Amino acid sequence: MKIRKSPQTNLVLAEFLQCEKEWKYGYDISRSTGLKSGTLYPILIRLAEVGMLETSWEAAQTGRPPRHMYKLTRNGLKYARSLVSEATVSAFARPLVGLG
Amino acid sequence: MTLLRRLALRISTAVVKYASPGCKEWALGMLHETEFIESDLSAFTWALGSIRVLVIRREAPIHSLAEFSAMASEYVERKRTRTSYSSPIMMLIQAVGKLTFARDSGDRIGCAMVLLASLSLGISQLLERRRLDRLLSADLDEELLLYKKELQAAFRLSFRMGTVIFSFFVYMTGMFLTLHSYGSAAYRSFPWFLGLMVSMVVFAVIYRRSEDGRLLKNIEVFLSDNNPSGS
Repeated sequence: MKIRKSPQTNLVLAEFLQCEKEWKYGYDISRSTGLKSGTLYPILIRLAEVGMLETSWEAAQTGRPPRHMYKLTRNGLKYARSLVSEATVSAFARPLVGLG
Repeated sequence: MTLLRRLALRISTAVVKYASPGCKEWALGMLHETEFIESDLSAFTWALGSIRVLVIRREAPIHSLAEFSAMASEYVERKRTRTSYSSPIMMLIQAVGKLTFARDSGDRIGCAMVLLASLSLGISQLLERRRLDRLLSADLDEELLLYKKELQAAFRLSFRMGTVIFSFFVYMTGMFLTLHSYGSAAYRSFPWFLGLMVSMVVFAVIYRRSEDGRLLKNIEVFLSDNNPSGS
C-alpha cells in the first residue's frame, strides 16, 4: 500500500520531524498542524498501516485515561525526510520556473 | 460537566463501539484525547471529527496462531450457515407445484426454468456444505492453509460462483415467464426488480471482495512474520 502525497500528510510528517524521537499525542499534532481530528486520524491510520508509524499507550495517570501516542518508525522517518526535502526543492524551484 | 462536553463524550464512545475491529484502538485513543482538551467546543468538534474513523474499515491485526485459527473457524462457520438447503428445497417444491398446474407453454417453460435453477442451486449448496464440513474437521495447520486458499479463491470465478450466477439468471427468467403468462401486472415492473437485485448482488460481491482482500493482506503479513518461507 502506498501513502497518498497530500499537503495534509506532508504537514503531519513535518510535525513528526520536529522532534523525531519523541512520542506525540493526537491533540497536540492537531493543534500544531491545524488539522481537524477527522483529517488527522485517517492519515495516522494509513501511516500505521504501511508501517511508518508506531503507536503506544501512555501509562494512565490517576483519574485520567491513558493517552494514545505516536512516533515515526525508521521507515517513516526516511520517507518523511525525503518528502520534506522534495517539498523544499520544489518550493525553491517554483520562482525560478516563473522567471524562465 | 457541560452539555457540549457530555455530547462529545457520548459521540466518541459511540464511535469506539461501532468502529471496525482494527480501528477500535484509534477510536479509543480519540475518546481519551477528548478528556485532555480544555475547551468544550474544541472537544465537541474533536468528537465530531472522530465519526470519520467509522468509515475506515480495518481488520484487527492477527497476533497469534490461536487468533488466526479462531478467525478461520468463524469464517467457515459463517459460510456454512449461509449455505442452507431450505431455500433451494422451497424453490423446488414451489416450481413442481406450479408446473403441475401450469396454464400454458410459457408458464410451463418458466416453471421448468425455476425447477432447473432450484436443482442446480441445491446441488451446489450440497457440495459446498460438504466441502466446508471437511474444512472444519481439518487439523490446525491444514485449516489455516485452507482458509488462506479459500480467501484467495474468492478472487477467481469458481465453478460454484458460476453455478450460482447461472441459477440466479435462470430463476429470474423463469419467474418472468410465469408472471408474463399469468398476465400479472407485476411482470411490468419485473425488469426494475431484476435490475435492483443485480445491483444489490454486485454491490455485495464488491464489498465482500474488498473485505476478504484486507483480511488476506493481514493473513499474509502474519504468515510472513511467523514463517519466512510463507508456506
